Amino acid sequence: MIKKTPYQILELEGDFEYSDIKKAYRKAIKEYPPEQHSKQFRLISDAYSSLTNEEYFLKNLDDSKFIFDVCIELKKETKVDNSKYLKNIFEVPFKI
Amino acid sequence: MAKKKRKTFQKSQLLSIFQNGNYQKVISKIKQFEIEGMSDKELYEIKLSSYEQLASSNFDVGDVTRALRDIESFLSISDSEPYRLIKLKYLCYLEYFEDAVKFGEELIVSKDNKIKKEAMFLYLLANIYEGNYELNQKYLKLLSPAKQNYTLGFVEFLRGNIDKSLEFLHKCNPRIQVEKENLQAIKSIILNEKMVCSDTVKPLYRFLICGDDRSLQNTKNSRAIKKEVLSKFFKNKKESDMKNLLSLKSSISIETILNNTIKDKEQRKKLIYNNIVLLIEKQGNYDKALELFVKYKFDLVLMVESALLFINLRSHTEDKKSDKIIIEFFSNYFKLHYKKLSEFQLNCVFIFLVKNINTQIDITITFDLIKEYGGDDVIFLLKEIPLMSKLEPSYQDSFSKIVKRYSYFKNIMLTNLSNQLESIDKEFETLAKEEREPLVVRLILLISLLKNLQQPHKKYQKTLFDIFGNLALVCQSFELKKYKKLYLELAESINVFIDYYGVNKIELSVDIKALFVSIDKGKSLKISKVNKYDNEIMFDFLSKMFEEEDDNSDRYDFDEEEYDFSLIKKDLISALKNNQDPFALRFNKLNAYRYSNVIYGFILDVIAKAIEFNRYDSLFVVKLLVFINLQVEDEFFREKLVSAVGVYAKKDVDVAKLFLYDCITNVDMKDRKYVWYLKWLEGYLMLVADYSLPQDGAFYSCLHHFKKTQEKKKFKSLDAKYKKIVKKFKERGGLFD
Repeated sequence: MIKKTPYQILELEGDFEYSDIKKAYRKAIKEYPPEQHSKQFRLISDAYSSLTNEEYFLKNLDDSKFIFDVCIELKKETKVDNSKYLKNIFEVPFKI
Repeated sequence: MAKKKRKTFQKSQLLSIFQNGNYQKVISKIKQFEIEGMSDKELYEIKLSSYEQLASSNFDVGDVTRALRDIESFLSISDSEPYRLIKLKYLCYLEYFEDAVKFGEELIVSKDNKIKKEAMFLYLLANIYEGNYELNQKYLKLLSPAKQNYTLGFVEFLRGNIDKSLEFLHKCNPRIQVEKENLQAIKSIILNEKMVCSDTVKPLYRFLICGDDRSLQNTKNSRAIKKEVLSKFFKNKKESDMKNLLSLKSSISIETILNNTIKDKEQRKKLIYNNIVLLIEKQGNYDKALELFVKYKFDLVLMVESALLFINLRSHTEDKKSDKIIIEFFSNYFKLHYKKLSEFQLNCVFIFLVKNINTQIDITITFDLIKEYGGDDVIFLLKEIPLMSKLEPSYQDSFSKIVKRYSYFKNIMLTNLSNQLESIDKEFETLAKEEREPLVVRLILLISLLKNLQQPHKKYQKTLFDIFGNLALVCQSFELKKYKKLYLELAESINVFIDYYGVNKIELSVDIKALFVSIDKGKSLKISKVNKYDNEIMFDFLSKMFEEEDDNSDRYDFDEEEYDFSLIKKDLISALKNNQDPFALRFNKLNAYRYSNVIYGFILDVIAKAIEFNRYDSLFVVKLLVFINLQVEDEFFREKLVSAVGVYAKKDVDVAKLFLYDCITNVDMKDRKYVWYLKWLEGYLMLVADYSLPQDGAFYSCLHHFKKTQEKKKFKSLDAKYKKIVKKFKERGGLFD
């Protein structure tokens, strides 16, 4: 599974400021309250803590966990339909 | 004219070539030379074998044209049905279906039943590929059931009846495992499903499933479609490479990323970043990762995450090639991301920058950069203090401000100061005499700064005493009589901190103890070459310590919060005891401390005393909380109540239970549907159960409300607790709500 960076989890992109982290956190937990989205909520809290809490940051620093991958959406792999070529080239599934 | 005699070739040489498997050479030698010592029969056998082998190997590598040529050569000297059958097969593979039909007509009447059946199968298929889908049922019935079903299925496929075709193919159940696998491959191709191909899957199927063109027969049609099919697979492969990269399965070359169809700059930089992460996480290849980082620094600097990635990379490799990009990278990085970073993140970067100063020019540039981005504390601790020659008026305030609040990175910087002092001690003998006097001045200034620090945080205790220990070490290098002020200033400063932190003198480091003994004895132990670990020295220190030991009851309590709470509590209890209104008192600090971790202990202690002095009623909790400026609905209060009550219950379960129940009943009706409230109820029920308290009306009211609300709301987080409670307690009915 692709891990997201704390900034991505909090949907912080482009030109934001440190104070926006708290706003983004509030917005995220409003969207994912712990009662209904405990897993997502934990991710959001972890992301927020690692950006704002020195002790938490250091804990991650020790484990080198601060190297997150960045999530990139790719176009879906196009399926290759090659069945038509069965008509053109001779082959049989049996030993002959 | 006499006929020219053919050159000769030795039989042994020819056999050797044959044994080495070079059949083409065998044929060519036989054509060119007269083989000496070889009978006609032997020559015939070796030619047959060579043609047979050549045909087979050419077919296996996909050269069906040559294979056909070889089998025809074979048949020209030995016409036999089994080899004619092979020719029929090659004609089919070469897509010469018309020829195959004609050639097959002779073989399908063979007397050899096995050959007849095989020929019939190929004959029917050649007809089908020719476009003749009307099958001769009489011929068809001669085939094995598996081949019959396959033939029927294939015809339906060519007719476009995919479902019907698959029906026949499903029925087709060959006995041989490889044939089953190949049949599965055809079905996967028809259904456009993914399949993992082994080497036993036939080349065409393997090619159509995964683009592997090994051994694919080289024919007019295969050449035509090869490019088309491979380009589709290439496109998909690039995408699957990306997927692998993103799912951290494998790294790909940066060139692949850059040349990929993904033109978006934003995505490209993320892909480069991910590739570097992958190299670290999966392969541990920090050198390669750092190399890529340096190469694509301009892409990566755009990402706020890049600074920590760079620092992490550098901390895992000795590679110094990236030294030259540090300042440039971070100058650009700060320009882009400074406003996004917390103080501790900035300090982390600043310390990294200072640790990686390599040249004299770098010193100025680095410190200027740090200063530009608000790293004044860093400059102060890492540059100004170690190099100060006089006490600037702002120094004391700056230092006090820095140590008042604890930060890990500030602690690192103070440790750095301590380490510098240790180095001075180690290299003292190498110091030039003229450098020693200014050093004493700097040491005294530092000691003075330390002595006058205002309320340093308790977490700095160890580091500050390390600094004192190293200062004591350096001091010992100076003659006590000449530099008595240095010794006395240091001892006084240490004493201030011993009092402040309430340190037991026995636990002081040996260097500090030695300093005190030196002062007492009037000489430097180091210069006198007295071993500081000598038992007698320590005995002297202890004797002196016991002499000086006085009443420590007035020692400063460094936990200011706890201290203030104890004073407030004392006054409140006194008011309760003296029948005065405790809530008429005013405490400025109480409001500031209302979210303190010790607030519950404070509240419960006051309640316990109110009960003791018979001043408690059902409104006491509300009044007390209003007095503290806390509300039962406060997030802080909500979350910590149950655990705090649990802690206090060990001390006085009745007070804990009463308090929790009063909190529960004071919650507004409209808030009694939330998770936190149900957690309080659950806490109350478990408290009663854990301490085997009587299950009274209050208990059953809580139980009833908990069950009713959870059944309605179905909070997932309470599901397990609900089941546990239902199992544990039988409801009696309640009037709680």
